[in-house]
Amino acid sequence: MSQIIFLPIRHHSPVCAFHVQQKIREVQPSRVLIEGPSDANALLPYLLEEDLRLPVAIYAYQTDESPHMLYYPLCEYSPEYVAIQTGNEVGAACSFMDIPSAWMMKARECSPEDCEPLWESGTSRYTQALARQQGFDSFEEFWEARFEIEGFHKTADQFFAEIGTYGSLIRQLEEQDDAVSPVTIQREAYMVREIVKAVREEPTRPIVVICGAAHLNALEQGIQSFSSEDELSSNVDVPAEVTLIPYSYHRLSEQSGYGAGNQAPRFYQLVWEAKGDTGFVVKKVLVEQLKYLRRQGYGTNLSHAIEAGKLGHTLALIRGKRAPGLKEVMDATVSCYGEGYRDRLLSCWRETLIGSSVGILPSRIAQTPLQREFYSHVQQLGIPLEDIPKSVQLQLTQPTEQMTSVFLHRLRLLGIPFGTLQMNASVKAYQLLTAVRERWEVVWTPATDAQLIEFSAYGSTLEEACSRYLMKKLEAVKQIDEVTEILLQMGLTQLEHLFPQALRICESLSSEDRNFTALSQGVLHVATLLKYGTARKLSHIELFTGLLEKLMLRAIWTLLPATVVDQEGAHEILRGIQTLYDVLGDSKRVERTHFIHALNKVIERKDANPLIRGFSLSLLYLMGQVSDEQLEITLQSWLRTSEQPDHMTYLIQGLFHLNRAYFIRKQGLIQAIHTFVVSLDKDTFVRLLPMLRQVFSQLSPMDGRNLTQTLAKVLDMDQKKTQSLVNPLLNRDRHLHLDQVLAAMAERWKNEYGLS
Amino acid sequence: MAIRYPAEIRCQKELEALKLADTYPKPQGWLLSPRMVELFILGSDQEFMTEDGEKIRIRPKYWGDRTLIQVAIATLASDRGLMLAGEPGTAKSWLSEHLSAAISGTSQLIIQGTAGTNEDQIKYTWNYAMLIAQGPTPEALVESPMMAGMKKGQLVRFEELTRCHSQIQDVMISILSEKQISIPELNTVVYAEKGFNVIATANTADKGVNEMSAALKRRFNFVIIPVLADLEQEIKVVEERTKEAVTQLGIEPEISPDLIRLMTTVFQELRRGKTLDRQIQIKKPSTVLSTAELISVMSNSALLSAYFGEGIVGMKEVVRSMFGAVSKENDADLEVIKDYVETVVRDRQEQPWQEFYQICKEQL
Repeated sequence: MSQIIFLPIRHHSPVCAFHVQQKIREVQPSRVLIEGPSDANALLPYLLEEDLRLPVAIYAYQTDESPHMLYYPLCEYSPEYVAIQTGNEVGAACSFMDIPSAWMMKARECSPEDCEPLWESGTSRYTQALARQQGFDSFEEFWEARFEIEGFHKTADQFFAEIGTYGSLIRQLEEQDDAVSPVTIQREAYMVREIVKAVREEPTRPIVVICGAAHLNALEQGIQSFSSEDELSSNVDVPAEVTLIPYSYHRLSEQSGYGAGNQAPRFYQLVWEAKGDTGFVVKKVLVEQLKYLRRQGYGTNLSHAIEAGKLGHTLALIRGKRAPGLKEVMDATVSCYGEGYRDRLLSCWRETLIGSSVGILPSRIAQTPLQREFYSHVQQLGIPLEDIPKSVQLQLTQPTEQMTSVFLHRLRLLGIPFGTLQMNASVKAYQLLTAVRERWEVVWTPATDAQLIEFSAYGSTLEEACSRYLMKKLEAVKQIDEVTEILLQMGLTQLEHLFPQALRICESLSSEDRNFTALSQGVLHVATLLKYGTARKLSHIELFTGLLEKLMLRAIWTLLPATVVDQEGAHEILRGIQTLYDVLGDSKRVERTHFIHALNKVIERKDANPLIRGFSLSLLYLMGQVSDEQLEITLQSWLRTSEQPDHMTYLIQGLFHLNRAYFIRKQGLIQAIHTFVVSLDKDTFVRLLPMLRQVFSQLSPMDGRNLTQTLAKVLDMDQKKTQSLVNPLLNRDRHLHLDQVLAAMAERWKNEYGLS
Repeated sequence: MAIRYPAEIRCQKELEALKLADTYPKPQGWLLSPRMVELFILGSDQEFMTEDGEKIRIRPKYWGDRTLIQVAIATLASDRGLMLAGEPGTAKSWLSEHLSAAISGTSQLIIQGTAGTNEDQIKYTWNYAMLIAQGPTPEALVESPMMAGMKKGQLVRFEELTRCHSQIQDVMISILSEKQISIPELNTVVYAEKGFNVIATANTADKGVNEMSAALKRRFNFVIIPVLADLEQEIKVVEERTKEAVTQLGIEPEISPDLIRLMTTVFQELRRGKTLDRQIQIKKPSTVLSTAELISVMSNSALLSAYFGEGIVGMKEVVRSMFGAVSKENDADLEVIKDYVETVVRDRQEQPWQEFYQICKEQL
């Protein structure tokens, strides 16, 4: 019977990796079985490629539309990875022995958020309780002190015996609380079967089994009691694939919520490279941090590093540790470099302790075409590829930077997490096309590769994937502005070869659409495309000239019925009208004539929303269709004859919406408004005051002076006197004070009259 | 009977018991090992025996992150000074006192930093009568606490270092680097014995800490003592310290735990500028509402109830003391309290919040 040698480990632990290496070299097994998804065995050869740069992750995903996925990260000091390397070195056959990822995904029914960390958490409440009982503040500190630092000074057998004891204790506590999940039990049963199978295949030579320490007892007992060849029943029929993707130190770190990670992957990488000499690593890291802080402008120097080193050693002694470790580095640097402030060191720690390395896959691995294109573009365009956000500024007049913009927009369109466009919340989508500069924040995460793999179903190039994606969206649109928005996206991503198809859909919808708002938005989008398309070097732009005309006429035709709307809807219509006005400008296009005609109809129509009527009148004035006299007469007539004062205030609002600075100088208009306001009874005046304030509030100092001049003429008063009356009213602080007085009054009334 | 004894006297039995039980290595000049000093400061449930056979427990002197204490102790074992910085009322001086008592057996070597502190107070001065009579002699020399600490190998406390003028602060640079004070008049040098070190404190609410020269900062390891953020921890501190304070004052009034919890919550919320559940934003008063301030409020309330009340601390006494504490620097802070009471307290239906609301309204 072959000897089964269990090597219980904690994942991503340098000391575990060290002893795994020692033991495999000593034992020279025929087989090395490793806790990992058995459907990833085909990827093992790639993990031995010379041009592989860790960290990487085995990435499992479902090939149906479901979002489930799993990551199995590996770094240079992952015991599993070291087992594969060393096993290969001694000629052992290595394989993963855990349940296939599809089973795991089905069993856990995990969402993408839950699936990031796969290896069992080393920071459960049991491990935390154990740490506290041993006098440590956290499990990580306990682990480092008792295993990572001490473990390098033990033999492999001593070490594995201790870690086995630790794992068994944790498992016992979990079992007492009935906290062992069914998935774990299923996995262990599967692993037992794989081990037994290996033993039967290699009856005479030793077999090494690498497993999480908490599984040890279950596996040992499982093998003892294994007696049948019963297949593990599984109704799992989940289409899944596994592949390798790059990973990063940041993802590996605990900070990213990764339960079985460690706080400082780079620090432990250095410990691995120094074969456990944490004292040396501490010195190295202190000097690196010193240099980093000096580059940031802090006045740190070598004496700080020396003192930090001394402090670290003393802290280790006080804490009963053989040598300083990660905690001592952090505490010493807070005190010596950071003057007691931890915040000053966060970015320094991120770089020196966590690290920003991103792994590189071997060239031989079958990356998807999208992945290959992504990495190739990133390299060619010089875009940073790190797991911490980096800012990228683009000047779109430069050809290379325009290419970068197109690349990033394509990724953004597909929802592939990499670049985030930095823009004000108020910037609308169509305005992106008008920009000459863009600022992006780029950050690579494993999700970038994961999504690139997912979108491989759409095409073998980004262009193809984006095209398919947009065509799919086009098929689902119902309104013209949805199509034209897609046109803009085509512009941003330089997919102009889709324009003819999109145009056909636009033509069809534009004939049917009766929604003024949608049509006016469509006008805006298409006008923007025509205006800025050539700057973006888009071809086929001229195809849209006819469409623009058609959309404009259609929008103008639907304008009049759209003006019969309540106040809530009026603002949207107003924006639509303004869009048409802006697009038409001073052009002599035939649509302008129709637009003017439509506006005239609006001002004549008594049931049209008053805000829109007032606005239409002001547009006609600006377009030279109404003279000063006519403007004043019309307003006076409206204000005199109306029975609904509320409506009149909206009329005034609409009139002053666009060109307030000019209109407040018009004596006739101000006179008409003055007459109207003075005619109101007190209650009505109070009711209308907020709306009137909207029109005349937040005037600039110059507008305020102009208004008082006009008012002085209307009231036939001395201008200086009028100014002294009006100025306090324009004073913002006075407004705020008045508001506070009113609020206090309201509060008193509330208490006096028992109002709620 | 003294109003207040120093820590080495108040905690004499604890220190004695720890010394007896101490088997760990000690830095030269220290009375206790670093581990025992840590235990003295943080407390322990374990029982220790004094010389008379009495069993005692070590009460905690500081509630908070153990790491800070470890860094402080480790620093004192090095040749760098320890700078304890933080907002007023965060127990910097308290900690400094207890560390000195534990390590050196005395907390009385103190230099108080003020705008008027001069070099003589830091180094040495003379008995001028003797100086004139005899000329410069060792007998005429008046040692500063710094010199005394250097000679005896003991910790020296420099309170509010950053209140001194920068030129005076910089006197500390050579003392901390060279660990000596030369006395040219006597043609001699006093060298610091092992065990000597400096614990300085600085108030971060003042601008002082920022004005330390880079050269002086380099001679210290910094530990920032934070304001207690954890409600339960702060309640514990307030309970313990209020009990100590009132016992020292010779009174034993009843203070309800609910009242302490309420007041701690009030202080925490005003300090943070939002309710503990983070749902409502509150204006913060300009005055620092530290834990020390809260202890003072509770102690004052205890005095009021003991001498003018029934010996049970009631809401009236607490509210009155609180208003006094809040408005001592700025009357406008009473408006802040008013806002808080109307915005937050009013909607808390359970007792004693309702009682607190009613009393505040009456007082305001």
